[in-house]
Amino acid sequence: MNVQSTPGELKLGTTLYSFTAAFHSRQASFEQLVAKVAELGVGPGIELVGFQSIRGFPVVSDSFAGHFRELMARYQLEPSCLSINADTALCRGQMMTPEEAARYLEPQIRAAAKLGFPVAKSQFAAPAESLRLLLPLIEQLGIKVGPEIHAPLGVDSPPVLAYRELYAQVNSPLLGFVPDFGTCARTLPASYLDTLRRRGIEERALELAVSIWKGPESPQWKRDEFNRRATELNVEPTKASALSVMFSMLSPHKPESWLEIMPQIIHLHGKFYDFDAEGNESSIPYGQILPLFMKAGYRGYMSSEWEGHLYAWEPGYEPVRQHHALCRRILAAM
Amino acid sequence: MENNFSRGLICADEVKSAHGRLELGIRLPWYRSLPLSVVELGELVVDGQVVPHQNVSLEINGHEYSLDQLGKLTGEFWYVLDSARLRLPCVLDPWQPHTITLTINLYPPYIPGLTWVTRGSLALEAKR
Repeated sequence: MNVQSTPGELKLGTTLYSFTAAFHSRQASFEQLVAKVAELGVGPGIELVGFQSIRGFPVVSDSFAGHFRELMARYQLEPSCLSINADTALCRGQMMTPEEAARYLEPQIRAAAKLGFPVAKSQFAAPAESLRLLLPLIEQLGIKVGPEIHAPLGVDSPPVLAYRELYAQVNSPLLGFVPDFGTCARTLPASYLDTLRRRGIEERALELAVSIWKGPESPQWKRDEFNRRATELNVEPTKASALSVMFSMLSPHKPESWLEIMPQIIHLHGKFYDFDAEGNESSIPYGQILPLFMKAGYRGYMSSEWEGHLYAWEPGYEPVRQHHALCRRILAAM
Repeated sequence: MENNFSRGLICADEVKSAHGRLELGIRLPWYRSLPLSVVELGELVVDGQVVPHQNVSLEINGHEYSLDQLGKLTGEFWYVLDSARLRLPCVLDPWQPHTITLTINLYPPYIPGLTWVTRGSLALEAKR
């Protein structure tokens, strides 16, 4: 074991999205959540969803920007990534052109730079071409931009390949990807399956979904196969629809697959749901993932992103604290 | 089936009757602000009776809209912490208990193809 490696090189942080339940239910304000990150020791990185944390986004007033910088200084936190949205289906039943998508993303990227975020995380709903159009602005602002690779996508999925092709053409260090580790799940979180049971999903429907989820087939095939077999089993449609969420929540890709695009990784989403008795994430193998990124030379931030609020409407403070303890333990052992 | 936004969908402390209309404070059942163009009011049921959408309005950011206007409002965002005011042409007898059930369909504009359906109910007790 190399005891001289410094665990601080992969920097940890938190996205306030983890605390969605506390914020949405008006239990905690934006300022209180920032203070909470410092209190729990789950910084130094702070990630925000622009359209969640900032009223009036993508307009960011000078006074909000000043207030935000003051909060970062007061709590010794650092802006790591601003999560922006590619709302390309704003008009229902119609998709934006690459030019329209670029115009929609532009004020959000400017907002990220104004707030001092080094990275703006976008989404595949914007076609790759829109980033080519935005590259002059991105270079002028000196900010990194790229879409999040979220389940069910992996490095070889068609939308990801389209971006990789563009990146190979333009060859800019400012364009990249943000992997979400929900893509590397070995199984589905026990707490999630228990919630589905409590909400009345029959065991046979649950078993069907989980067995299809675990297979190596494409996400679309899995969803279709599940829907076909759920209909055969007479699973009630609202329950079938609730179950099909799992195919885009988590996917079973191999952590090693990220090595293929490692130099283009600009930020990480440390997605997690719950923990086993030893404090390990119950479905996502952080003990494999973090050493892989460290050894490959990744030196940016990872935001802890608790998404248990999808089914457990809790503030999320304790799970984020546990996730940081787990990650620090893994990094310190390297 | 419920989701995590069902319980808070109709704000229990933001129910009013005024000028012959019932006014409900309702919340956006999503984690981030969305434009009204992707918000669709589904079935509205008061005491077992379906309320037709004509004469129902939604007030947000100080502007009042009829429900059939929402689909065009790509620039009017519903901030995630704000309650919208839903006004229905109903008069409720305060001396009787009532149940209001609301369904909201969202079409998150960055997840083409997804319809997010949230149904929430509020039971009002009779005045004593």
